[in-house]
Amino acid sequence: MANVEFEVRGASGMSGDVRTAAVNRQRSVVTSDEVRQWNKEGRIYNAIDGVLTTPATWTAIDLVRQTPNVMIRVPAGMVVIPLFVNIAPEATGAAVLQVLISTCNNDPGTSNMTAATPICTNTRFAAIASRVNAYITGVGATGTAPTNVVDLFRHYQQVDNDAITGAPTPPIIYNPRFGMGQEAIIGSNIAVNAFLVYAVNGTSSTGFITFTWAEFTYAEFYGS
Amino acid sequence: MTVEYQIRDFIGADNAGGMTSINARAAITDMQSLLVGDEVRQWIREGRVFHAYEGELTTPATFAPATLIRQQPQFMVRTAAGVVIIPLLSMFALEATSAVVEVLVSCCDNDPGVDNMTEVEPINANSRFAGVLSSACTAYGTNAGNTGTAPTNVADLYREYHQADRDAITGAPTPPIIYNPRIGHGQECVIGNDDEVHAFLFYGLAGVAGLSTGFSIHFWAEFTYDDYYG
Repeated sequence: MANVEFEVRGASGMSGDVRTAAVNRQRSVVTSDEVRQWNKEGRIYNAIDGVLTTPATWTAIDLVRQTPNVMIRVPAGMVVIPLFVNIAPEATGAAVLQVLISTCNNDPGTSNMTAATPICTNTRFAAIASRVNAYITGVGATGTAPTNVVDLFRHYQQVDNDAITGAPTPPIIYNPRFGMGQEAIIGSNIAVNAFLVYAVNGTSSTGFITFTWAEFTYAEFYGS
Repeated sequence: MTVEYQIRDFIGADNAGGMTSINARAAITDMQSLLVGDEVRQWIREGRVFHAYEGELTTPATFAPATLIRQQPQFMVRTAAGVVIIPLLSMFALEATSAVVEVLVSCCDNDPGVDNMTEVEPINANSRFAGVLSSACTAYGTNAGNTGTAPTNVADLYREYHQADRDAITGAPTPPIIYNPRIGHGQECVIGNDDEVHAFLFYGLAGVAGLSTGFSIHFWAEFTYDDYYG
């Protein structure tokens, strides 16, 4: 009878340690979620638009490709998979709340944006810096029009969000693993690519955006 | 050729282990589909999932702060050095509110302290181990002020902001607010290190200091650092 063995991938990558896989007492194979493993490996990072009790100001009043609220700029040689975007509007001021999430295969520039410091969502690695660049608080055009854009998620809400007092107002969530948007892979070995999140109201508004992603070197992700 | 795998069973009194060195064939259905067990269900089976809550059955907890303050979590799990946790579920049910409802879930890589908090006893979510296997973490509720140290390297995992005074909503349901990254409500995280205390922080409040009340329940899976990272 043969024991099939696999190689353990730990926090430091492939370990060379070869073992059998686990089954439970009912002999069901115990499988692990890949994204949970990325967390273990310290690949998932988080950034925030807005500071605890001070929401970010969303200046745009309509969607403009060059005016994202937040952005992940992926340098050449890196690859990211966006995992989660949590948009919590605070003061919306006017009707029509729009959210758009997209990717592009060029460098949109960083004008009119503020660099954020990503934090790893595995506290063991929280002091280890991300290898991509996150930007928040977009107040104008970034400099270059995004090219080959793919829209992953869109939300259009007719009602003024902060005028809703007769019902809960849960956050708007992009989370493609659970059907809320399309998963995407962003990054190239030769050029900057980007992930773009837009949240606008009919007038300047405020709120918070929390976003997370998994990151890999190009060589890790594509094996070349 | 018959293929065997190794059985993973419950953890020991030291909250560690599980692999049995017993090899066995995997199970398939009558239609020969391979049976796959959910990993979190397996953690419950192994006795790794613990629960704690804030607010007693008919007596809700009082939410002291009027606004979000990093050092004033409503509920906290402190992971001892050498212990790793993965938060699974936080459920927040508001009773009396006064204004804007805010919920924030985060983690940090230092010890925020335990001032102004009340320790609660975690219970194993597998009743076989309830009262038998104790949590290797410490859990705290009922915040009444600063914990003592500002959280560092904070990652925010989930956030809600509700304009409405929740208990004034009488024309629509008011379901609980849920952090549950396995179903898309929030980002999953890993909390813990081999040589220092880290923490899971849950904030829930509703406008006016000391005037909002409610209940929260929390679940997490825990591992020894060695189990988790090998």
